[in-house]
Amino acid sequence: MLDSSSLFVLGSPPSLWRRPIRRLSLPRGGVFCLALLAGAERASAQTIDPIFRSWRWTEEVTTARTFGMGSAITGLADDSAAAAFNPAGLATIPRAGELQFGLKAANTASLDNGDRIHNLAKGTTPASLALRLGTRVGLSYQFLELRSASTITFDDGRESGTLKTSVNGPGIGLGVRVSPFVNIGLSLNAYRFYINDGEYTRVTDGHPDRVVRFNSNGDTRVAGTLGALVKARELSYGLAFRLGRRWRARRTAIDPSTSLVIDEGTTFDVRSPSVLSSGIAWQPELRRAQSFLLSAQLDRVFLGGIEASPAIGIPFPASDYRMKSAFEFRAGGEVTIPVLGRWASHGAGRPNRLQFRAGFHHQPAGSFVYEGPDPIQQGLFPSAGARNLVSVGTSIGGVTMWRLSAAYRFGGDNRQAVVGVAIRYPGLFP
Amino acid sequence: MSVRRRVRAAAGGLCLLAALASRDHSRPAEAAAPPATGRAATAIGTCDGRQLGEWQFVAREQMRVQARGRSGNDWVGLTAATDGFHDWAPFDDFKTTICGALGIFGTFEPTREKEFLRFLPEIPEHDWNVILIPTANSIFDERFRLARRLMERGHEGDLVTCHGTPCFEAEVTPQSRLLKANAAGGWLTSCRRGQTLCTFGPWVGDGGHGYRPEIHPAERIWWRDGDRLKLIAVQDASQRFRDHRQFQWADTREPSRWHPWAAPSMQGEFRVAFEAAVGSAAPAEFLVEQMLDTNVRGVTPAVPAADMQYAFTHQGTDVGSVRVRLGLGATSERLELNLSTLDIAPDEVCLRPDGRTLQGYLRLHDVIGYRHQEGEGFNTFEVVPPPLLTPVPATAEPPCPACTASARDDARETLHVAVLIVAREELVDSSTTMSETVLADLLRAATEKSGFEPALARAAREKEQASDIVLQSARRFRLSVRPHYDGPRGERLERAVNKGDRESFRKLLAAAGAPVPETVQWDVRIQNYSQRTAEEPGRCRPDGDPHLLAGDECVIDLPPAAAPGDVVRVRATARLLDGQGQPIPGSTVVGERGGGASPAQQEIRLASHFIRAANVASRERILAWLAHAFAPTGDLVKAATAEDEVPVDLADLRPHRRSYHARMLRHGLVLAGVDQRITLDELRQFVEMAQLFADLPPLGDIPAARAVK
Repeated sequence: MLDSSSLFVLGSPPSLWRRPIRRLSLPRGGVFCLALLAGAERASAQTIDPIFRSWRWTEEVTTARTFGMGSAITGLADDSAAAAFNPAGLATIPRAGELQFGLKAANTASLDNGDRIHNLAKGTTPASLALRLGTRVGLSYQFLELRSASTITFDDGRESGTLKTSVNGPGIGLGVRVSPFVNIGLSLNAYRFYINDGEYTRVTDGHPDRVVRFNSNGDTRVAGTLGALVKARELSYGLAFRLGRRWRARRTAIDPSTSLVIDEGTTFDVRSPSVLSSGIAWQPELRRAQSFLLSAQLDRVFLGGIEASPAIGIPFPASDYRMKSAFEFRAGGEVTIPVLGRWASHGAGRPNRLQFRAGFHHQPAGSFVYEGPDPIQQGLFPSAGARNLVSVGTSIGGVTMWRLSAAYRFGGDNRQAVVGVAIRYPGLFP
Repeated sequence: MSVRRRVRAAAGGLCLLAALASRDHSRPAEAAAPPATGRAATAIGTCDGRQLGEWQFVAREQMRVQARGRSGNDWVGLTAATDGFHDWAPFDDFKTTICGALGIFGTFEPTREKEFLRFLPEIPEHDWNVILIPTANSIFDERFRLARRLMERGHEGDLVTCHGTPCFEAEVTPQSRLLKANAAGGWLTSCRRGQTLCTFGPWVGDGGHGYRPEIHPAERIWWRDGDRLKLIAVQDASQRFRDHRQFQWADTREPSRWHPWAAPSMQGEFRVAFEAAVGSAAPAEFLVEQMLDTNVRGVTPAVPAADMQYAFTHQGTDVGSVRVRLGLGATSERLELNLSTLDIAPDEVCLRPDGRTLQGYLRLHDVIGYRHQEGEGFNTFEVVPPPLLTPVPATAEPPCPACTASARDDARETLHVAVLIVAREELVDSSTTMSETVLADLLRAATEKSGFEPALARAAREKEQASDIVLQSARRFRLSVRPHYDGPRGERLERAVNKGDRESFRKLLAAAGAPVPETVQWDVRIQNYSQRTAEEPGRCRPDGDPHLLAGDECVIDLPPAAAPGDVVRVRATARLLDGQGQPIPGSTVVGERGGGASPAQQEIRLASHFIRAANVASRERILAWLAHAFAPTGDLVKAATAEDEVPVDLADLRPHRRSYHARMLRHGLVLAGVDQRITLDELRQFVEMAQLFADLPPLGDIPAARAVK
């Protein structure tokens, strides 16, 4: 991490500023890493207001193809969804490039703790335009939704309210083939944290005695993903690191019965965890137009870096609220079956390939657990379990030009349907 | 001493002995040239008939160069390549060599008329369009004539013509570095027009142009430049032929050696023919310069040194030697040769039966291309071979810098218009028939030969089982006519035609000074072969809205008087007329009014009945029937399905010619079976191809198809 003391060089006498510059002479790759790590802040703090108990980090790719394979894409990274999880794959997308967009259907889920989450209908993420520039470079422009737009409806019998948030933003990605089999990549996204609606009310003895409101600060943070992809014939391996960032938000509280201001305005953070992701994919070369691939991915999600901050009016120490780092596992498969009703010259552009996918995603809790002695808080912030999600998907389209895909995921409290379109020419679709 | 050390010592001793032995053999040559840095001695045998005939063919017909695929890379098979919009259907199981005079050399780049499209990266579509007129009276011309029989009916206008002579295209998308080097070095340019070039690659029909024949992708191209041979091995970079999923897998199986036509690690070789007198003091000497290479891979065996001398012994007697000097051409980006990627050595050297001369080839074997994007490879050489003992008489071909070709490219100055007809059978009767009478009538309608009725009736009976040939009938034909333009603004005209954009169509033609077609004039003739009536006039009735021209969408209904079992043949000719009812000439010199060229027209032949060819089994039965009925001598089916190519022999070309007649007939059946129907024109071509297989005329007498389908 760059120490802020290195900044003293500005305005210092020449005799002084020469030396630190020499000390900072780093390999080019090192500069790249430092630039990324410079964004890794101190451990930040998320509010322990109970309305945040169901607010979990669930970073995932929801483009229809990848979604259908459990988002196990780090080791595969063969389409423009790579911009999100492993931008090294951008260097492997055939010329001229690929355009990918889709729609994620709205859904509502009831959680075990009684909260309800309504995920809004949004575009799938990343919506991307990947282009090949020259022989070794792939470039993408993407819009990513780091955390899907959702509304949490919270009611524990004493407190009730809603929390509508999203974290998203545009970005660019770059993939470079550095040797015939090795690709590296970096994608940078400018994410903005939105609290579109955040308020809950506490009722004591039938009278509301506290209203807490949350507002986003309009923070935009640049987060990066650094990836590497090795493609060796039928096997490919991927390694990626996604840097966690924090966004500030503001909390105020009043007692509506007395109009007394309880919290004039404190700042709290939300933080995305850093993730180290590794994956492997196997796509054997079959003799005919059929093909299949298997992909698996293991992520270390550094949720432990997300700390709790005390909230005025909540009499429990923040240190009693913890999140633990966890492993996240994904696996997916895809089968391609030709459907050759007509030759291209007798029906150009007609679909001639059908694809089926399935995936599995073991997702850690990603929300606070109360570890203190208070039984009410224990009930509000229980030790949430991981989710096991299963997805299925299908595509129809041509070997090139267009592909229409759909996927559905289910498991635990999650039900999600997505559809998407991908366009590339003349390169072959994976 | 350990075993390993003993083995090393023994190997070292052997090498020393070999070096000493070869030194003795090469001593006479060293007087004339610096000593070669590497030596090898090989015992050779006496040439057999195949070796003699093949060598003669290569030396006389292919400019001393033979191109071959290796490790399955010679196999094309029956499976068409496709990108979802176009398909390329093979005409032959094996990659094919075609030599001919360069008619046109062009490059194709997709146009980007819209400003915003220019922001996007380039589509990898920078084709070399090497358009050749196959050498007259050669097996190359015969292959071309056969392939034209397999084109889609009504698409004669899709054939490329070079000054009125049909010619074909060898197309490849070279890797970008080769494109630039070629443009800078002027290796393969339009100034070589008239010069003989040879191309090697899959012999296919381009579905985007009525399955007109092309070599695509042309993976090996060679020509002569003075006393030098220029050899280019190139892996196609269009991203269309490199993955098994880019092929239109039908119901046919390919042997295990099949792989995508331009898959990475594309392995093949050039072989340059040489001959030498036995006992000659000087070795036959090759100078090989690598001009430029990209993404070439290691080969086995690699050449041991850049200057090698190879001595040959026959029954213990020295009979001659070959020296191969390798170097880098001026355009190479290398500073020194990478010997591990070069396998350049004498191949198939043998002593001719006369005992006075030996013959052989210099093999230039390469493996090119990697799997990653932009990993497509190429390899280019200039070879100065030793002179032949009996030089091949050749027409003088000036080297490129001295070329005197007109700067005006005729193809660009003249706007050609052809008429394309797409026909579809409608009102198809769901019932089928296996009637031999109907089949015999259909054969008569197809072959149009009078006086052969008994033979055709017999042919209709020559089935192993009655169910081998199943016929169906249709009562209506739907015809669509489109003018097809080649030449200046040809692509824009094609777009206007495809969109039915009348206004743009007029403007573009007006700018070229070409007459504007307004209507399609039909001449329809109908003849009932079962009732043996004379030809009667018919009508193509306009149906639906015209696409571009009045009468360009019409239907022909069979006369109600024709019974369902009657075989009725229809000949329909479409002509383009201008607003004054005058025929549109087939070509217009841009900027000049008039022209006097023959009118643009196309004939199509249709029949009430067609043979059902629903799957691979039915196609095999039809092939067997054609063999029994029209080629009883020789085993057409065996020749058509052989997995090894019959070697070419200049002394007797017939076995080789027969083999590709048979294979092309089988491939034609696959292509015809795309719509599961073998129609009148297809049947006519197949019958004639089977007859040609049985009774091969001399190469100079190969008939052209009487009408392209």
